[in-house]
Amino acid sequence: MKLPAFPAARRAVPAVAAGLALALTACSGGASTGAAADDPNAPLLVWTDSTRQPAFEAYQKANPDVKMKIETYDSAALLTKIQLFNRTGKGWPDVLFDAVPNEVASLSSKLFDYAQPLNDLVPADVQKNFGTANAGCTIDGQLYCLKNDLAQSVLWYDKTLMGEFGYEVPKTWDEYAALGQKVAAEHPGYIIGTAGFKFVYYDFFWSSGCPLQTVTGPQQVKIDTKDPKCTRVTNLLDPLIEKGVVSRSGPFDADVVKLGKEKKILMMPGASWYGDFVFKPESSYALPQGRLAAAPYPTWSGESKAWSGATGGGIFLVSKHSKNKKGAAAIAQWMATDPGVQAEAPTYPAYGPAAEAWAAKRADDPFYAENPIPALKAQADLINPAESNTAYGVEDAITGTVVAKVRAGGTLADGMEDLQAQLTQLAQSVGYAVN
Amino acid sequence: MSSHRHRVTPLRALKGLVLLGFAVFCVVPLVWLLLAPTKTDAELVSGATMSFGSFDQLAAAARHLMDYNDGVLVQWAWNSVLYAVGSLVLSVGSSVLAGYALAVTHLPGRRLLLVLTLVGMLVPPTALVLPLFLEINAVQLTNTALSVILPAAFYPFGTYLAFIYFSTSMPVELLEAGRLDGLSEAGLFWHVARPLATPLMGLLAFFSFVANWNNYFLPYVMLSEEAKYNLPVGLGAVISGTPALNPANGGSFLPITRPEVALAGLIIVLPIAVVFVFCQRYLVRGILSGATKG
Repeated sequence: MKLPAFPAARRAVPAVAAGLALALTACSGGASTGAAADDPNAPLLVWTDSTRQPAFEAYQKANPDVKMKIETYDSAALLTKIQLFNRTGKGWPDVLFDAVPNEVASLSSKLFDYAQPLNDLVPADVQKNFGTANAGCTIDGQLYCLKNDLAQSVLWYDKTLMGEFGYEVPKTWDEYAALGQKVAAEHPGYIIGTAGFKFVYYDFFWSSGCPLQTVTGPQQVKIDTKDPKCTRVTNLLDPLIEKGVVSRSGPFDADVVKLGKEKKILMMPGASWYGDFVFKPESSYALPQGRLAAAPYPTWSGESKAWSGATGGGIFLVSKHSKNKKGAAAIAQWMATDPGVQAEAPTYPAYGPAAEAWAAKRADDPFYAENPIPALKAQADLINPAESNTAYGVEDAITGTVVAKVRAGGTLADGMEDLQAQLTQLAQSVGYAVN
Repeated sequence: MSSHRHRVTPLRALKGLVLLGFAVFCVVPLVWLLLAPTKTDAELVSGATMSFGSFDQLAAAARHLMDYNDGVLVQWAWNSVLYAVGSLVLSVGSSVLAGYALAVTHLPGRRLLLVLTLVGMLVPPTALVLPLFLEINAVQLTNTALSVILPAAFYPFGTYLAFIYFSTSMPVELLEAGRLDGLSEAGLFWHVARPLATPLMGLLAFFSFVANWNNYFLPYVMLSEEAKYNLPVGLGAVISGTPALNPANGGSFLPITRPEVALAGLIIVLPIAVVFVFCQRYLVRGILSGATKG
């Protein structure tokens, strides 16, 4: 039997995998979890991405008695694979690093039946040191994952350009809008942000608290694109998009990369990792040393706090099917909290003490015009808790509605009705009551 | 006469230009792919499109790929060879035997079998993934090499091609002569039909190898252990797990960037190109066999 060749199949995989997962659920009664006693000698299968792999190997080296098998996996296949394992009754990874934090909602649901509550497996003081970072891991009062890193949004800006133009860094979104109008008039061709990519959700809608994933109870969610916290985002961005100071493209599109290389990006609201991985690399904006700075996120009118969104931030999970849950939880805890490991991590650690170690190593990076850590640290505790992880994702719906409208020359507001319809349908398809 | 044949007319020039245009259209992406791993990620993004980087950079890209997960790439390549060759032997063997039987014997239900073979060709392969997975799971073979190799035995395209080949290219008189000489049915196949079917087998082997070498979805579903992946699934995992082609994946210090991904693409394609060169003679003969009847 011949199955499709690589490129075509890659494109077809998400759709087919989703169908496959549903079909498997339909014909399987769910895997039995069993209540066997924990075996501290049971071997542990670890699934990770390549970035976290050396740290897992370091754990193995430091703990040679622990029987571990460390494998990388295709993140796009994760949910399908878990469904397949539920069917075969074996194969689940004992410890899992998942780069898509939203998937904790699926993995802890009855449908996937994978994530083990960690409340009793991770010491209370360790849980406390995470501060608010594990908020998204807590579902119906149970802690289902440990956060590895945070992708809190901050306001990146070119300090040199701001000085040359004589502008002040905005502290509120109203000031941001006013400055945008000024830039459009005085320095056409420069941009202060982007709206043509799915990250517009994290950078603006989530930060504003627009209810697209607002969990109001078990299997209950609020989705309301007409909420004032949504319309204030479209009211802010649409005029700036119209004037050309907020790009219709995304931060990784060629035209924005070109603007970056030409030093025409005055400001960019974006994730904490943008500095090192979007502005700095030669293959990206390649901004020269001593220009970039990070400011706390602007505050929405009427809010007392400068809420951020969160563009990712990986999580560690433990399998409820594991025969060695304590051993698995110990690995997950070490990975998320060890200061030595996290100090070398590429992105901002979620665990408070580890974040201190990480920050200490980066405070003097000459790439930045001034130390960006205070802004990153301030926003780490300000990821808007209004939005939560849900068993449905919002990225595809955002891409297919508001982003599609903006990229086609329209406005964000044009896509809000479709967004409401798509998200409602998605939420209901996985069993949420939408209110 | 000769000068007339070579005279450049406007029509001839136009034809040449159109053909040249198509040639450039086809060749440019291939040349780009060959050049890409010789550059750094930054050169690939902002350097001249068709420029050559350096052999040092090519070696660095190869080293980065080979260093990935302690050289698991070599294991994936070996798995690919095992799965592709195993599937090839099974699919060519089963389809040639089945096609021969359908062409020269009067099996009961022969017509029905032929119709079912055609229907089998029309069923989208992805539609069979779930039943196939359940079947393989029922016999406890998921996550084994056999879970990828065994389904190759179902090769309706090869069976039908073999049926047409034996029906049109093999004189019935030869078989009758063989029977008169005392050959058994198995002997007839082995000593008469098989030698005549060499071009057919070359053709089927090539198609089978290409399909199995590129096979993505079946191993993607059947195999859960990284060390058992084939190259397409493994390299797919490398690419999806790094920001190389998807910067939205976030921060990573991994040296897997666009040049490494381009090199990975070449690694997958190269064996097919080599096999094509060796099979070319059979391909042409196999395709033309049966096209005309003397």
